[in-house]
Amino acid sequence: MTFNHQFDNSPNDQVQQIGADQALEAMLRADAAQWRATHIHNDGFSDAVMQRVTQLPAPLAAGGISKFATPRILIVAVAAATAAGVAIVGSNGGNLLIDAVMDLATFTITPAVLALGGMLLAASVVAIVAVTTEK
Amino acid sequence: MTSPPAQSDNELIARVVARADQFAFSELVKRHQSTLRASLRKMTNGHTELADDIAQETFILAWKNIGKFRYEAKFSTWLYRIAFNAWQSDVRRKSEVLMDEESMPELGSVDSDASQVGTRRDLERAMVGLSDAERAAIHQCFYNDLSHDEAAYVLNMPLGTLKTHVLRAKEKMRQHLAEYSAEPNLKTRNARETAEESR
Repeated sequence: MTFNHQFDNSPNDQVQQIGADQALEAMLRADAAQWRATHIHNDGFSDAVMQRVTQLPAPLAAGGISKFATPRILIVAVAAATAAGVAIVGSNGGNLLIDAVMDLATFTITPAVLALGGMLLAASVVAIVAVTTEK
Repeated sequence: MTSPPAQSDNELIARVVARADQFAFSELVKRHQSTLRASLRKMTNGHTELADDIAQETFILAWKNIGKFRYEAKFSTWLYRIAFNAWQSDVRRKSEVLMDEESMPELGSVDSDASQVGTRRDLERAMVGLSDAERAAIHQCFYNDLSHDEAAYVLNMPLGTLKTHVLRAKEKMRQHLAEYSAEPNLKTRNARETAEESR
């Protein structure tokens, strides 16, 4: 098989280039066919895979929810409900942030400050759960 | 007594998804292990152990994610996609340059006559000059015998990009082979190396 390495744009060179392309294609196809025809004996490979598979949980069906997902959803729901409850009780009619900032400015621990702290704590829990559920 | 007809890949997959049927999955592993391991040996330049490790990881990932298999591609193509991603992760993790001149594939591992060994060596040399993406495109289209559509799916790239990579790769390889065959000293050396290997 020969390859002509200098091609201009003359018709003769174009024919040569097409010939070289076909030759390369033929070389690749022949080598690939020979490579694919090589059978690799199992030699315990499947057993090794299945040994690991038996130690794994069952695969999830499409759209399924993992056994870890339910507790995580519950944690998020409880954290959100707690935050909402704390906010309602401690916000004194919805003025939680203003009250809390005012109280913090005067270094006073009031229900509003505690509520803000509770909300930040709950938000942190939600964020941590969200990050760990990412995978 | 005749043995029952072999089930298709899709029937076996359905059993795995519905009942976590390990026997069905084991059939899939046995059916595809040879082609997948051969493909990975080519990708890893003949690193048999590394290729088998990645193949094993590929099947484990296939088990874990089989519920996401959409039957849009063939199971083997899906496996190639997982294997390619696993191989890329491994390369990134180890930061190894696998496709260098020193790590040529074990030519003796495949039954070949002298001319085929020579052809393989020529092709390997020509592929050394390709970019990773070009080499991957050639590997998927020729060595895994995938269509352009399937190769684009495996490599997770647009079809047009895949086609460009294949064209550029072939152009580079053609030029490399032309330059190589034009050098009489190199041709003599190659013939000598081929003769030595076939002995």
